[in-house]
Amino acid sequence: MSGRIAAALGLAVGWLSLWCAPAPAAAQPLAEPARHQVYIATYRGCEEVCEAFKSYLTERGLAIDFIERSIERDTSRIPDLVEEVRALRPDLLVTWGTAISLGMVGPYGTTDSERYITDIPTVYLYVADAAAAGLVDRPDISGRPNLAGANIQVPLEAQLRIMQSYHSDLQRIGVVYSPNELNSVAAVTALRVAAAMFGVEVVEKQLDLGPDGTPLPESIVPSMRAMAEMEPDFLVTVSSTFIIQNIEAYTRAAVDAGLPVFTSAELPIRDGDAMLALYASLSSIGQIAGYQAEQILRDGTAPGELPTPSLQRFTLLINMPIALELERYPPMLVLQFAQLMS
Amino acid sequence: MRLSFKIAIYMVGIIASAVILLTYLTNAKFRSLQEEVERSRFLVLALDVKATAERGLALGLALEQMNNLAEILERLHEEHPEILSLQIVSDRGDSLHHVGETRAHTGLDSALDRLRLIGVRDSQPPVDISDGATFGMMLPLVNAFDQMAGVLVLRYDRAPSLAAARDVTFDQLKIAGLALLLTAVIALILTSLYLHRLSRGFARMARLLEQPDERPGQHKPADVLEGRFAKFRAQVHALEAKVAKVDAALLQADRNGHERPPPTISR
Amino acid sequence: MIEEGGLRRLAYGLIALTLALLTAALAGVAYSSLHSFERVLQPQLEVKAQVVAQVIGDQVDRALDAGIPLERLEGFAPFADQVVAQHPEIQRVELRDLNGRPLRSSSGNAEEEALWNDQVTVSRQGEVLGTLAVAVAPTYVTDRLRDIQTEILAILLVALFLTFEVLLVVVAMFVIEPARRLSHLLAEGEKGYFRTALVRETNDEIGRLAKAFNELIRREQERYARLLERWRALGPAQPPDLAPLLHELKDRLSNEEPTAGISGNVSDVRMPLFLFFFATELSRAFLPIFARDLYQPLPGISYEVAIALPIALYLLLVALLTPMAGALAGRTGSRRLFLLGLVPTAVGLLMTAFASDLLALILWRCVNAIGFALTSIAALDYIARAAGRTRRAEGMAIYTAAFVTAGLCGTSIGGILADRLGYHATFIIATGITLLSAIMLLINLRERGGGAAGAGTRLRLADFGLILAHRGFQLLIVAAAIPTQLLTTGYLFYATPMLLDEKGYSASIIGQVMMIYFIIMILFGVPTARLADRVGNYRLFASAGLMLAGLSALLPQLAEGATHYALWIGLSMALVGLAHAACIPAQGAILLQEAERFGGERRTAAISAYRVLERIGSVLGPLLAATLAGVYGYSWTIGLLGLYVLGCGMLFSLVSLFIKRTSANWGN
Repeated sequence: MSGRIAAALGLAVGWLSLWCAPAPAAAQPLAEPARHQVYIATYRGCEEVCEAFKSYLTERGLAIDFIERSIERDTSRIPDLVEEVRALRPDLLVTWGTAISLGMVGPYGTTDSERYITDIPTVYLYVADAAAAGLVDRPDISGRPNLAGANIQVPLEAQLRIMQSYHSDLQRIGVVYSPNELNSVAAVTALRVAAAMFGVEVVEKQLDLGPDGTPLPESIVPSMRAMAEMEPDFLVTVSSTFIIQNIEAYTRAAVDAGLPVFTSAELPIRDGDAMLALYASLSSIGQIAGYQAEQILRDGTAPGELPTPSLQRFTLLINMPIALELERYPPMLVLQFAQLMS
Repeated sequence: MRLSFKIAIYMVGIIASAVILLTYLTNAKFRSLQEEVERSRFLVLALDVKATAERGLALGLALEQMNNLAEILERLHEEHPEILSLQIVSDRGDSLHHVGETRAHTGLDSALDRLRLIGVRDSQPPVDISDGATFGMMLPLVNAFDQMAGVLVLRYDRAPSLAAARDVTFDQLKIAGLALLLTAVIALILTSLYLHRLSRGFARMARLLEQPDERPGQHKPADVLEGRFAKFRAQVHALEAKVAKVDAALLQADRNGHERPPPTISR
Repeated sequence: MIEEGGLRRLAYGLIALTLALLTAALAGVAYSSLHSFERVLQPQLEVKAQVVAQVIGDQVDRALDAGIPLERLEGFAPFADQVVAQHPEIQRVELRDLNGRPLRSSSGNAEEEALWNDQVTVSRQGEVLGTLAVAVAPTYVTDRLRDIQTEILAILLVALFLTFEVLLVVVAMFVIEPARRLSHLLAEGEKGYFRTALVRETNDEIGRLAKAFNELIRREQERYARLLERWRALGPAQPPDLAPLLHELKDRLSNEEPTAGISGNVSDVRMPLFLFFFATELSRAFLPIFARDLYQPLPGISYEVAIALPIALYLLLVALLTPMAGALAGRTGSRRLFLLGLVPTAVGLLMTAFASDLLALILWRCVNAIGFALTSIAALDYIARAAGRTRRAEGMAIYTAAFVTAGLCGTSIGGILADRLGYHATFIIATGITLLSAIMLLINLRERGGGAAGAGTRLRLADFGLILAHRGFQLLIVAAAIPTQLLTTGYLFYATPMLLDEKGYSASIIGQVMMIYFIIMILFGVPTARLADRVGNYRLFASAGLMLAGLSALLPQLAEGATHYALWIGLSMALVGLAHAACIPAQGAILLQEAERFGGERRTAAISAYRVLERIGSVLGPLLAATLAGVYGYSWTIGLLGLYVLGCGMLFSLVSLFIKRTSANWGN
């Protein structure tokens, strides 16, 4: 409240002072709340997550000067940013993504204060799995005095529960993936473990690899057909560069084979023909990091003392044309909480 | 005052106390039931709005950006005339969407503070922000990381239902009064009928006591009681005879002694 | 004259009449109230049902707009169930096509009489494709009113006992007592004696008879008085032969000696006494909870003991003041003392209503205790004098009946009032009832000058020493009286409300559960006493009662976690009531036996001293229970108290058997 009025008044008075130019003393703006300096290091500029982060903070009434720097997808420029941060000493450093975060503050347990920023409060933004990446000690608290962040992954249990809600007698789910990608393999294993606790079987089909060790795009359609014969209730996407790059073909082949695709990312349903998605919206990813930042800037809490929150609510998105095409109609309870995409 | 009347008073007293207590009890239960029915009706509507808002919040939208909410509030306000106002308020107390009358929101800030203190949990009951004139509820709107992004405030007018409740109370009082009146009349009648023999018995005894002297042996006593009273009267006569004797003797002694005018003895 | 058996039957007839009218009146009021309620609520329920249907319909519309065909709608039942779950009056929701055929529905079943509403339609892009029909339970209002049926039953039960108590008193007061006196007058008159003083002249039929008698007797007595005057005036000139005649007249007419029938009416005091006890018992169901709510830290006293203090100090003061009040009664006169006692009672209750912290509560409860001691002793004194030696047992029975019936009514009604109006308002009502008692007293009671009637002996410390030295008394006090009192105040009065409140039961339910104890005491008190008299073995009854009470106190812990926990506590209450009905009169009988050792005045003093010592148990009860509860929780505490009582019971029976065996040596 006060922030808004102050900002508005400040604006008005500032505007007036433009007209009454030679009397700055008379047109003194009201005492403004303390301004914070926040340095945001991004991969390719301030995109949706970063914008959501910034809006969250300004809406919460904090007066912030944002300093935005992009490495333009070039990780070699990270040390330059580190130097700039050392010189500027902002109130808060925000690092976008795993690469930049690791590059600027280093892994958990590092003592190299030359190479890394360790003495400026830092919030990491849009990091898929900070603990697995070695950025933090534990998922529930960073364990590092100057680092805070948030858990933004959609838990496997939530994914399975949604699938179960959609298809009440969920028995089998399938994965078609590229065996050369380590993160895919790990994801399939994790999925199998989680599904077992729900009494759900996981069936898999590995894509055929080409001579260079990467999967062949031509093998997508036959793999889908083979998968369809195993009659899974859902086809689940896993984290994979190949799948992302071939998302349209991949999901179209699945639909053609009569398989509804479930994903925990936004891309396969927005750009592809996935039917059901449970994902963390980019805005909420930005907001939850903003929440951490707010506590550091407003309350002065040390980042290391903040517990690491997790996103609790995710966006449920249903691709209605695909659902109608496959004749897999969403039940009403699922429909109630879902966004519908036409 | 007759005996039956006196007893009937106590009977009616007990019945009246029970009737009053029963009337009060049922009336209180009725009022709470009525309030609950009404509140749950508006709660259904409020929860629906909450679900829509939280869908958007989960997407990362801010409450003020959700224009469909404003439309929904408008529609509800039109369809349900008892709704006085609907408001979406940010968690810092700024009114974001508003439809309906504007009033000084007396309990709003303290209720917000209370909500912030309690924290938000799934399926918690709404915070009651009624303040005598109107009834109101406040539901938290929760974002993707279970943080309260704002609240939905619904205020509805209870005047018509309070008026109906008053009517019901009057009806009840009328019925209770009627019932008690009827009970009193019946009690009086039945009690006097029931005690009739008793009353007659006592009246008879009073007569027997005052019966004038009769010659002994005139007629046989009709029952034991008459016999006893006859004996009683006989004893009274005997006593009076003795008294008369003493009186006469004293008179004589008086005359003999002092020539004083004899005192008169009332009889 | 009129025989008393017939009059008693008369009273029961009147009671039956009252109960019939009561039931009819209550039924009539309840029925028509229900009618009014439904008239207002049923439409409201239908409006709500429509709103609920609308909300479901909106989601169906959403599904239809998204392209899902109506016949292929999935998961309607779980969705509808979830919405309907919050509204118990909605039995079923059906999705119907345009022909009215049900396509989907919620899981519930609608009863035949259910009220259907099918105004809400579902549509795709404005085109109506079907309707939503909602079934509302037709008897929802009645069903919800069943929530209060236990309270209604409690009112009925209280009214029942009240009817008995009041009408018996009323008939005694208006019919039996006067009839008895008149009968006495008649009998005396038949023998030629016309000495007794006047019977009260009311203006009903009996009063007319009384008036006739009174006039007659008065007339003769006046004549005699005048004769006497003239006789005295004659002086030396009195004819000597008149003397025997005058003597005879004096014999027959002089009313110097008051006889039993005129020194007051036991029933006169019964109503005010009942009202007084009723006012005191109103808070029985919630006093410990009230104390807990007012808790403030007291220096040096733990939390548990602090909240037990109002009850414990009250009992302590009553115990200490009772003997003193006895002496006071001898001097002041019962009526005045009764009224005197009502003042601190009323003040105490009124100020308790405004008490805002624990210290204030303790203070005003102590004031109450003063009032209670004074009033109860005054009543006992009055009863003792009015009843005379011949009807002392009846007098005591009247006192006890008033106390237990008031306990029953007060506990349950107090619980209901506290639930609806709050604790403070209930205390104000109690004050009002105390004032009512005072008014009744002023109307009814006639005073007789202060005179020795035996209740006014002052206790000396030596008396305590006397009975404590005695093995029989020792056993009785330690192994029987104190445990019984301890259990009564510790379990019944202190721990039960706290325990049930902890489990989430309302004051109303608590009152009704506690009421069971009093009901059982009333129902079984006299029969078990008679049985004990017949069997002749009081020690058996005392031990059995103690052991049963002890076992019953284990129930709360054993029933932990059961559904309808309150019923189990009720059962425990009933069993304890039965146990006490057995052992308390038996203890009284043993007391009288033991007290026979002392003669005359010592006997009464011994009994008074015993009563004071007995109260130690009642004072300790809440304190002990509170302290234990702080560590073990309430149900365990009750169990521990029960084990203690059980142990005492076994000890008592063993020692009694031992005494019996060695009765030759028993000559203390």
